[in-house]
Amino acid sequence: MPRRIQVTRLPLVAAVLAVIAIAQLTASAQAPPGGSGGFWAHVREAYGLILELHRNHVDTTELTMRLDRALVLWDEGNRTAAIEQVQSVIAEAEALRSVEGQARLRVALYKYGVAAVFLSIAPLTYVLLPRVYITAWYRARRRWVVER
Amino acid sequence: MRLLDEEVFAVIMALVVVGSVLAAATVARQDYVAVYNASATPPRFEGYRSLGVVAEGFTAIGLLNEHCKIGEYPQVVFLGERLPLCIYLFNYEGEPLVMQVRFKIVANTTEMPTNTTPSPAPVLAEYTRALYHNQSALIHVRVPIEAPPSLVGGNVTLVFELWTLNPETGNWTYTGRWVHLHARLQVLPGAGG
Repeated sequence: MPRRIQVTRLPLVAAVLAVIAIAQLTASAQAPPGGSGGFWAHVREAYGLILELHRNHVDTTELTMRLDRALVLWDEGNRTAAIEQVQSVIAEAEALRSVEGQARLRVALYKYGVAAVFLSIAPLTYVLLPRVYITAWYRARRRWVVER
Repeated sequence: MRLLDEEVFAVIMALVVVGSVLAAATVARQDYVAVYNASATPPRFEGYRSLGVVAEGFTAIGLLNEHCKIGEYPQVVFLGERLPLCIYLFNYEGEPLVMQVRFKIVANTTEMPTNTTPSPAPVLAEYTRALYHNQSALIHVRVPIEAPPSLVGGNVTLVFELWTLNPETGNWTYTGRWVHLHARLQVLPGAGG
């Protein structure tokens, strides 16, 4: 008796499974990686990488402008180009992560190096100005003849 | 004037000390970034770029007419039209920002946004841009004038709110800045009603 019930329900189960499969396929077709959700996930990832680079003193002007271009393309309805653009931003940002440490060090050396040069002007002036002045004073009078 | 006279030399030294300390402080206060050419492998260093001194960061939003100029704003808007306007955005936060302008139509003053809360009215359009520090953008928009027909003949307020993408949470955060335009809502000529 239970066996007969299972057999009669088989078409129903098959139909339910078919509906679920169709729904899954439809959902995946509507939200592929290139869909709206996928695009915004890419934008978030790209923006996160850009900020990380920026906070480590890597210039991200170009990357930000390209991300902006991707957003404009998306608004214009050029979805494929927008996704390609934002993916290229992510790839380039990933490549730049390798120089984060170097950039931080370079910027610190540059910034405090320039500041140190400015600060050294005062002691250098104190030491060198009288010597330079005296040297110039003597050179200007090198051909003078002393008379009684 | 004798340069090595004690008093003259003291004045010169005072000027030099003040000047050099000011210059050093200005350099130390500035933010710098290192510029790399990312298309080279490995990325090639190309120099430094100053971001200036960002004592207090801010963002700005402005509403301009369809020619991106101040003034001559539309006083009447038509139900169902796409109204051409221009939005100005500026980022001076010291870092790149992803900024979003959300357009809403408000019929009631209680629905207006405040410095802390956005308007509860539904979002009718969004415009998103990414701006680097100290960069501005002009966005030509055609905003949809969608409102209940019961509002026709009355005043409505077109509200543009500024939101930014929060990198920590991945959510949009209201900046507390908005611009708005009061206009009379009419039916498009020839559309009946």
